[in-house]
Amino acid sequence: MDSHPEFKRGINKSTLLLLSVFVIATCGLIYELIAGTLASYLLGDSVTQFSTIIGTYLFAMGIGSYLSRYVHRNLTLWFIKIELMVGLVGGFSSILLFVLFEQVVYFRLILYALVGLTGILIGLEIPILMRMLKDKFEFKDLVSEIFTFDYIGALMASLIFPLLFVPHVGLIRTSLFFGIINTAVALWVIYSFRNQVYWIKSILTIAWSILILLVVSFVYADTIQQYSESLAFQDKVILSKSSPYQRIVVTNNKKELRLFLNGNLQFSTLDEYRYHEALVHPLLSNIQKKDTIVIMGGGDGLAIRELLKYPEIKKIYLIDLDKEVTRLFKTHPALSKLNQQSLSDPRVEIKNEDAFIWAMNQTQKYQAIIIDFPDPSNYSLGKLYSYSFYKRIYELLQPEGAIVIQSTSPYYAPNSFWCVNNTLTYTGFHTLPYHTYIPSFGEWGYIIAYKHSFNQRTPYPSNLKFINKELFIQMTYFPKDMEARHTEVNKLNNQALVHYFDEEWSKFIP
Amino acid sequence: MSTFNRRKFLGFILLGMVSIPLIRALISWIKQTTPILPGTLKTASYKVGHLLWNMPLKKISRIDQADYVIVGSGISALSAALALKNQGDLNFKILELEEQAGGNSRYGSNAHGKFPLGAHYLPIPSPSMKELIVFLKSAGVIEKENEDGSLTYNEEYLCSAPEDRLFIHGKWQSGLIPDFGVPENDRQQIKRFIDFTNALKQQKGNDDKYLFDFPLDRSSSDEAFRKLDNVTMKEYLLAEGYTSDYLHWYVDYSCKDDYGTGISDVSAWAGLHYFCARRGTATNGTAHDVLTWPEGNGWLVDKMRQQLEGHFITQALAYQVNEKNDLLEVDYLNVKTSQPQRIQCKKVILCCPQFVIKHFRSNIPELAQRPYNQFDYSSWMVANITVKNTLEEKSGADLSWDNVLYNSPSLGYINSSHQHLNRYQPVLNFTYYRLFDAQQYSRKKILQTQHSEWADLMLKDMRKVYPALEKNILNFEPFVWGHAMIKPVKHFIWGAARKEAKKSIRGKIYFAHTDLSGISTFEEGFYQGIQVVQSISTS
Ligand SMILES: Cc1cc2nc3c(=O)[nH]c(=O)nc-3n(C[C@H](O)[C@H](O)[C@H](O)COP(=O)(O)OP(=O)(O)OC[C@H]3O[C@@H](n4cnc5c(N)ncnc54)[C@H](O)[C@@H]3O)c2cc1C
Repeated sequence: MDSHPEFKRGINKSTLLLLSVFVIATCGLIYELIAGTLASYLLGDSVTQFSTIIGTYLFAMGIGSYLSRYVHRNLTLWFIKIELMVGLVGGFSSILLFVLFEQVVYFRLILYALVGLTGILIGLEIPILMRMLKDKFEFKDLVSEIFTFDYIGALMASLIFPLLFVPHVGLIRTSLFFGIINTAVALWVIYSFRNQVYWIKSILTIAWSILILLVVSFVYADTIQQYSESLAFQDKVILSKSSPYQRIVVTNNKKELRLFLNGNLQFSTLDEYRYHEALVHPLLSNIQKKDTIVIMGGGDGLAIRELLKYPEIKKIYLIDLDKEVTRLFKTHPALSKLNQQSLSDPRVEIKNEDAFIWAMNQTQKYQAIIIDFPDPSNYSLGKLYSYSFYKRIYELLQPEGAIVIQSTSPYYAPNSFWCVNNTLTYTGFHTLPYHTYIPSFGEWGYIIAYKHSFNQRTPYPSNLKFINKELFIQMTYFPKDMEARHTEVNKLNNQALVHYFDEEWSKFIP
Repeated sequence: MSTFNRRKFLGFILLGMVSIPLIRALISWIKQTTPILPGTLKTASYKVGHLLWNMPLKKISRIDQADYVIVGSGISALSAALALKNQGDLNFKILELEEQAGGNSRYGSNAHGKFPLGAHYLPIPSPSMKELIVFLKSAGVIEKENEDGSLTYNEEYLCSAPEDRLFIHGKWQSGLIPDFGVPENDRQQIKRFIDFTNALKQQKGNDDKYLFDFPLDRSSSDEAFRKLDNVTMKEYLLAEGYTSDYLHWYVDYSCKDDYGTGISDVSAWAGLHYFCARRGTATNGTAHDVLTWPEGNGWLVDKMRQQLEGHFITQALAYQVNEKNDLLEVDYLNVKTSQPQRIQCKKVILCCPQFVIKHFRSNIPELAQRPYNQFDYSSWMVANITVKNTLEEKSGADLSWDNVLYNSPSLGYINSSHQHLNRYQPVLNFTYYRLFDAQQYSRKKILQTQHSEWADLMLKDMRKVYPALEKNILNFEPFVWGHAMIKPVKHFIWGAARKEAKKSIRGKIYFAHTDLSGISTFEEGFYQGIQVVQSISTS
């Protein structure tokens, strides 16, 4: 034992304070990397994101260093306050960015503000620390040590971030983890220098609350992530499930219940009756022998609810790929109420198969087929709108039969709509396009396709809320801004429809 | 300064604490040690084939009779057999060394679908290829012939969109012609080359034949162009002022894809043939469109094979052809029983490659005097990679049928699940193509390479586009082709050896194989078969 105990403790503290430079540098750079990575994830174009973020961060550090001259007294208290701020801001930065991304128009502004704030705080820290230690070390040693630790910390951060943290811990937990470390350093400083700190009680309370907040968030990071995802929806998420095919989300507010598949609105209870009545009844009015009906897609059972308004229907085949969707709409109390338990009706036979493969394997011929697939937003869905698919459907149809297809919006996506129409006529069908207004979707289009003739031969059911024979006739009129146009035919080997769809909708959904 | 030392000491400990795991992580990151991938290595039956060198002499256990014996069951053989059948000659046998017919156009399958082991596509044929069009009609590939003579193909068999993409400068671009991040000067050269070859495509020689046609023997004999067979494609490009690396890569890739060797090897005539001989038309396609199936050209093999049931003798290694009086005797090893058997016949059509025939035993002197050593073959490794469909794609164009990596040692990979009609596929079969230059990777070495080494080679290349590939691989099945296809090197296509080797031996022994065309494609194989039967009937 060589030295006086008091002396030793003092030196130890200063040394550890010096080591905290290392921690601070690591944390600082980590926050910056998190911001860069998140911005690249969310906004794309990683080169721009990273360079602007690094630039902002370094510049903000400069501002921080400059501002440090205005800090005169209470260096330790200042250091603690800054450290706590860094822990709070940095620790919650990724949660904040995740959550705000979908919510705020000025996401970039918030992003740079956050990066700037962290930069300023870190920039303040080092000069303050240097001043705190200036009497404890020789100046040349101090400068050398501080910068050495600073740069080693930077190296550490840039290595462990991509190698350990992003793959194994995840972004949200990484930022929380370093927030915890920052706060822990602050707490340690508070306890070690308690005689130099004013308002020790309130500072301690704040520090501990921040630490607890961070730790709790760290533990519940998964839930937070899910929550932040569900924030993308305006309303309360009452159900959220992933099937092998898609993410199924149901939201609820006072007025309505809405279904989203992969984030795309499928229906709202406020006006889905418009959509489904318009889909089902005009076609059915043309079918004299309504004993067997096929419906493809439409696992929500809402179109089947409409079909069940015809007592003469004996059999309905529902072809829907996703077992999870049909199961939910059959068994979930709120959902099966919407379709009036249609999926449990003994006349309904559910086949969870791929519609194309199902169609290829059919030998029987049908009177009516209702096709209610998701919009052709990718190549795998594009196949279900192709000439090859329609050719097969044509073969499956009896001479007097007809089909109806939901065909996206003739107003927002006229090329897409008319491409479906033109593909059907190319296949040999006669078509009868029509459209109507559905508040949740806007102007929406359907196409009836038939082999020989179409007439509204049989009456509509009496208990409908929206459609009737006269209204249908109006729906077949296309004003100039939606009128028929020439397009390519959608084939497997050109996927023209997916290109049209992409082009047209990207104007409305950035 | 004990305190300073302590500080230093602390620093060291801290550094050690963080750096050791870091260094470990770094090392494993750099080495990227390959986990053992599931799957087995397969090859063409070269072990049985090598028995040719050293066939144990046993007594013939059985003798059969036929009018014709066809040796091999590749495209050339199947086409010859169909041509015989179509002209009413039904008394023929097909001897095939492997269990499965098809040669280089064979396929494999697993629970997730079929996939090619070699040949994977056929471009839509030019109108002049009447015989092939007749066959494609009979196979249901051509849906209808319209009143104006135009053809409508079955859309299911045309390659679905998106057809191809190229990974270049860190991004997938659509199409294979380098474009993303390519400098202006290179673009101009590429455009000049494409325009030039497009124009040449329609051009005819002084004998009023197309300069480049399929089958290649129908091409013009105009000396101005035939002489291009005497320079390599690379020499030609440079002489014409094409210096762009991007263009060179593209032409090199194309030659490798079709000819199994690159521009510094392939003759300029062959190289131009690739770009200038395809004039296919269809109401629903263009000359660029290709026909393909999950099992590649194996689908076409099945269509041919189905019409030939009863004629095949598989697992039969032909090793001897003798002349006895007026007849020929073809001896083969029944691989299942290890017994030699014999077929006595009037004519033999040898539809196996020349390097095999070279080792045949025979009492026919002409068979020993053929220019075998002029035939040079490339080696391939074709691997089926079964992957979970959860792979994260790099940015840019979507997964396509043909996916090529710029400046990679491979020729990229085919998504063999691409033509499946169903919307959602949880597992995909990728077929990965890799070519080997004999100078760098000898045939012997190829045949000795282990499964894990192939996995390593593949992963090193494919990680560029799928960093997490190995975690998603369910099965990795490399298939090695020692002598895969003929190389159309300088002087070969229009040289003496090919001309010599095509000739029949006294109207008794005939030859048909794509190595006699000089380029190995379905079209050439198909016409090898047609032409050999024509020459039999005219003699
Ligand atoms: C990796 C690869 C990819 C290719 N891709 C394409 C493509 O995409 N499109 C295309 O058009 N072409 C492609 N090809 C070219 C392909 O070679 C031709 O299309 C065609 O299959 C060649 O047919 P062939 O009958 O001439 O020869 P082969 O396929 O070589 O047939 C010869 C047959 O003879 C058998 N045989 C050999 N020796 C004996 C013996 N002693 N006894 C009995 N049987 C014997 C062999 O087993 C084989 O079945 C590719 C080739 C390879 C190797």
